[in-house]
Amino acid sequence: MSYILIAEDEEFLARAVKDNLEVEGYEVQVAENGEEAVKLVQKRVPDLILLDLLMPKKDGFYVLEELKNNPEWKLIPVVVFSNLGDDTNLKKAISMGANDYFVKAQHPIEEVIDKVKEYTRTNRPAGQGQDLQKKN
Amino acid sequence: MNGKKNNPIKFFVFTIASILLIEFVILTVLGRWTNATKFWEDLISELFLAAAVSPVLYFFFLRPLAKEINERKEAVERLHESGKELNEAQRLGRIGNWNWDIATDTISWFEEYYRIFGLDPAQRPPKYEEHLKAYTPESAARLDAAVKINTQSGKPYELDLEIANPKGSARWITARSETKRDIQGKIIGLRGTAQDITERKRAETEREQFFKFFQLSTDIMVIADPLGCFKKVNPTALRILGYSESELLSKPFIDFVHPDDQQPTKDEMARQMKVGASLDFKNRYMCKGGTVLWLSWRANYDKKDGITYATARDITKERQAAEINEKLATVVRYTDDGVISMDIKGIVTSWNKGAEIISGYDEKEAIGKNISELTVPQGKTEDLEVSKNTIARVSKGERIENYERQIMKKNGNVVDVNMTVSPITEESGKITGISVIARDITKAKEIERAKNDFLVLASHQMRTPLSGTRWMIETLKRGIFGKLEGKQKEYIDEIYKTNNRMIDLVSGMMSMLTLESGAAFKAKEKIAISKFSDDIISVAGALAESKKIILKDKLKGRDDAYIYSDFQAVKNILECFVSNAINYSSSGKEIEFGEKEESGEAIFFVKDHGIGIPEEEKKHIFERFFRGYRAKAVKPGGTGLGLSLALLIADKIGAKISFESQEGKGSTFYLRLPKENV
Repeated sequence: MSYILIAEDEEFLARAVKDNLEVEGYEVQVAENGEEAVKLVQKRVPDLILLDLLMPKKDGFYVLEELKNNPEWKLIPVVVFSNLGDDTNLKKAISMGANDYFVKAQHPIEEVIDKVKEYTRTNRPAGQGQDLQKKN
Repeated sequence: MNGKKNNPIKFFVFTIASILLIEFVILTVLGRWTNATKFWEDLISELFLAAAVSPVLYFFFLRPLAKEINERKEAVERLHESGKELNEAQRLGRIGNWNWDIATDTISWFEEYYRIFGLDPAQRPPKYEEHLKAYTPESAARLDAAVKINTQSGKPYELDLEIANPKGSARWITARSETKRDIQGKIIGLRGTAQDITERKRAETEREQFFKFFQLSTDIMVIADPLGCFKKVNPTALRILGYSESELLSKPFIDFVHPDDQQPTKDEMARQMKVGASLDFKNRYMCKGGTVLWLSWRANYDKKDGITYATARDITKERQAAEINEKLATVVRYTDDGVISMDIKGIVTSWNKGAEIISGYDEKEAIGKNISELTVPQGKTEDLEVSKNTIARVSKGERIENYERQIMKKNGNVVDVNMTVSPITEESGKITGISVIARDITKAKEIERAKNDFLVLASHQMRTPLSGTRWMIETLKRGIFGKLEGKQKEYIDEIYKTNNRMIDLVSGMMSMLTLESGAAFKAKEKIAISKFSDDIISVAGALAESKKIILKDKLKGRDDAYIYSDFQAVKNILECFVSNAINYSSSGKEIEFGEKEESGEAIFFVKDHGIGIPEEEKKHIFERFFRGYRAKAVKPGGTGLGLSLALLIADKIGAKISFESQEGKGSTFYLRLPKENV
């Protein structure tokens, strides 16, 4: 079972994603800020991180930075959540190692789930599986 | 009779001596000399006889005879003298005379008469018909008529006639006639005179001309006496002042002057009497009927006879215009708005205080400089282009209102100004300059920006919960918490649609706000037309497929053609057109989109066979939040912002949107990019 980490400060957004993923059989944890997210990664390396860029108390960029600097975490696939108009932030995120992005308001939740499935496809076994698939 | 006094004595002596001599001769002849005593006796008695006879002879015969001879001589001399005098008189007075006898048809001319007609007095006078030719046709006709009347009725004439003078100026004579009658009263002839009046006529004509001048002049012309009354006024004076001549002459003219100007006028007159002339003195006159007129005077004072000759002009209108100009100038001077005038190239020709306050440059620094170079912030070449462009447009006659721009003050600060830029035309219609009225709206703009920022932030904040609710509703719809039945499904579906509408509205608002703040769509890059094909398909493909609508992509493969514009802008507009086309077409219909070139313009088109736009709605479709009634029926969740946004974007990039549509048949929307974008 794949383990997904959601870093998102909007509770109901995170919940919606979590509920849908759990129904699909994923294990999901939610961090409300960057600091918490890193702590959770330290506790258990996820198979995919859904990362909101704008969070209080250390944002998504902080997380990306931490991930980059850790050899163990470098290869965790990261899909970044953004709001419309965050183009500059997106570019920055991608340059910092994010694999893909989602403009929240533009896509139904279906597509989020599909995207998660895509990045975790070769990752049926739970735990340490690192998906090297890079999608643009 | 000189010397005649001596004559009697001479005569006596002569008489006596002659008688004695005769006696002596007779006696000698008769031989009566017998003796000497008898001789001497006879002699003495003869002497006494002679002495007695001679006075008698003298007084009764010789003297009267001599007198008569003298008188005759004197008479002839006198006649001669008077003849000479007459000639002299005639020559002096330029009068010639003639005499005509009807019976014999002889005409005599006398010296001066010849001279008047430039003929030789030694010659015979010309015949009457010949003589008529000397006059101008008009004068000849008059003379002929008068002569005929005179000969028939005896009515003499007196005419001024003009002698034709081919060599030079006209010569004039006064011709007078007199009728000659016999004892019975029958007309036997005419006599007459002709007086050369050329000089007089010339003087008269000149005088007439000057008088005409006085009469016809459109300036007031007056003559005033030393007492300060008008002596003579010309018709223009009467017309302008409104009084009759008698009214104007009845009082001192100062009475007609406005009370406030009376003292200055009196002072001016006093000054004039010393100096002799006054030039350009202005005062107000009270005209008949109460109007007050401003007059500008030029007067000359003749010291010798104390007469003033003056002309005046009504300058009331000019003064009013000057007053208005002065008022306007004051307004311009004291307003906080910048009032600037320039020539058609943008060189500043006038600069008011307001402009100084706004820009920091004073009059001296601004006049003569190019407005664009003066005010465009350093380095903003694009703004410089826009500024120069604007000036070019206005110099061709366009008027631009609400032109907002940032300008750089002298101290380097940037301020926002709102300007109205208009062409200055003269009466002929030629554009001679440009005027700018500028208002500093920095504060207002700041408020506007703050509002805008707030709205952007608010919209942004709204998005997040809306996205959240969307995902939550979708999660419900997915049925992971249990399948939705009947009313549950219905309600959830409605909630979903409404939520989406709100998301769209917020998106639309955000886009509008971004556009209005002016930041977006400034990029200019070379874009292959085919690029838009990929984009549209990626955005609209799925939607089209779901509605089973066929997209005919004519942009695909167009690598040959390029446009030079902002990619996002053109993309957004085309996406708007295509999504509208899809939304408002029913299943199975076809939508075609492509680009063609026409007179140097790149024209994108999106053609559908959908619901079309009713006539009465056509003028509203670009209005914010407007939804056509059919459109609403087909897509109730629309925001009504799509086309207004597209229009805003098009404006920003200098493109034009147009459309053709028929209700029930379909619509075609066009996006035209101007030449420089191609």
